[in-house]
Amino acid sequence: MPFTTQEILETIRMVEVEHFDIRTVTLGISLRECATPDAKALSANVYEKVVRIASRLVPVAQEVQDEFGIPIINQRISVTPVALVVEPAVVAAGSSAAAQEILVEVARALDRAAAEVGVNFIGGFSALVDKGCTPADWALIESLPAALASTNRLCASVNAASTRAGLNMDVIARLGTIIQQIARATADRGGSGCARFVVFANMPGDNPFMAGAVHGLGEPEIALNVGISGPGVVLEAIRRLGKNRPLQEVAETIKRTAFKITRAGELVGREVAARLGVPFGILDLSLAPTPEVGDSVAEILEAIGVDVVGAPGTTAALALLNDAVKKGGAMASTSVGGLSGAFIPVTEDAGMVAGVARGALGLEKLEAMTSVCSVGLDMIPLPGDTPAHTLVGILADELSIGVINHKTTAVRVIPVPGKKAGERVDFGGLLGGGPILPVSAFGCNVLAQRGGRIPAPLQSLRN
Amino acid sequence: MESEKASGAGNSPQRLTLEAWASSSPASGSPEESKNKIVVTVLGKDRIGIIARVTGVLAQHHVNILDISQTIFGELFSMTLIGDIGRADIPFVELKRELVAAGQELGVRVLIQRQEVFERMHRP
Repeated sequence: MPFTTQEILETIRMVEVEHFDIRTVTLGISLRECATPDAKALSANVYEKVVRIASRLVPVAQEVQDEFGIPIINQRISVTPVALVVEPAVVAAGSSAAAQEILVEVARALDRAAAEVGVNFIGGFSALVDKGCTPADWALIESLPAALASTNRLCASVNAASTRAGLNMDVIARLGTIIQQIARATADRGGSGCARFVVFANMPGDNPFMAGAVHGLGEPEIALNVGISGPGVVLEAIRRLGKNRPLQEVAETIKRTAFKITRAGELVGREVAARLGVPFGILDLSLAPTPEVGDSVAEILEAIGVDVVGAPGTTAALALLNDAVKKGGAMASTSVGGLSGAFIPVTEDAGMVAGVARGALGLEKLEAMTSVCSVGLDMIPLPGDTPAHTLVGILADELSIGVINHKTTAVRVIPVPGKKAGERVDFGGLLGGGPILPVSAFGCNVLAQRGGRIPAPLQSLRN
Repeated sequence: MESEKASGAGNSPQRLTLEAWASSSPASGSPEESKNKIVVTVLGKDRIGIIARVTGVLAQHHVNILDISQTIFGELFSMTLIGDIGRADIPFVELKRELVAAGQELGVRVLIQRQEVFERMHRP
């Protein structure tokens, strides 16, 4: 037998019991050729190209899933940041109101294309504005509430800061209000339009995970990127290790587990790409939780040894986890990219929700945790009456962590209309639900009003 | 085992068989050959006729069995089998459907996957 029964059963157990899956195969499509000053032609071009390129994505992913026995949960699409594609049409539009209408039309065209090919999300309604904004960038930002309210599958993002450029505080200051407006425009769905909008520092151009996926600058015409997930597999491996083993053995166990799931995930991703006849892009090994019990990053931290997520020791445990996942992934494949680490979205992780409900986990601890792991303040429901300048402060704090530490950070918060701290919200499905987190009663109105730029950090004297 | 039968046989046909056997491992090979290999796993409560039924489906569709192993822990039965679908008369998904249906009749779980998954995960 080329494999032992134990090895075969280990693989099967990972899938059947421990929720190992390919979270997403995301087809990145360049839309640059779609640009035209003619607004009608622009929407038609965008729709036509997405449908043409992605028409076989869903059936091919299903076929590969059946043959390899590893579930592919989502098929998704990412496109060129839309602000770059609409530039000629925005200039031709003349007024900012007309420009925003064009943006909303493009948003709807993307949403229709996603529905047509059967993907649940399409990302890339985005602007890259870490240093400054063009008229198209502003038009996109201003159109966000209407664009997200009139679509269901569209995901939007703004890269508002980078280590090379600093923080664009003019944009961040405006985004506080825009986030409130998105929440109000989607109030009938608990403000869940905000769950499809992320603000980034150091945004990667090849991330397959939503809501932040884009087909970035420097990417090829088409690329298939794969997001692998397996918090449950890591959790069970640590539980099997026992509580009396030293931390380097915990790290080693995580590394080995990450290695195995990355290898299997790469095989599946390359097979999907080969059958679609498109180049394989990158593999993003990120522990992305789902609301299901046993598929939680919080539970991993508790298995490493904190009583409840948010307790002292949580940041250290998360740092160990995130680093070991990256090491295992990087050894397993030379195509690792995207975010690759541990995600800590609150409402999507039953363990995080429990930590919040028990009073162990709050916004401030989450912010500290994001300095050592992937992404940032993710899927956090806030009181509906959170002032815009407080949101600006939350954004600026989180993005500063990314800028100073040369890493990606992001904010996806939902000020839930009509709800107060402690009340519950339910977004349904993968987005989950949970209690509204309290925010500080103290604001930062003056900081938010100053606007301008927080300069890029010094690259030397690093202490 | 084959190696014992062949020992001390000089250049006899057995010896040639032994050399051929030693230079190839039963379930690896070129990437193309590897693509045709599947792993069938059966899990469930032991009963008479599980292997007969599962291998019957494989034989009916010209799937060559390269290796097979079974274990029984108490009442729990597990079987793993490696097959070659290079000459199978139906596509993978249909074979899968028939094997899963056979498993349902027997009250056991049948999984069928391409072997590459296990190669990549356990034989880096």
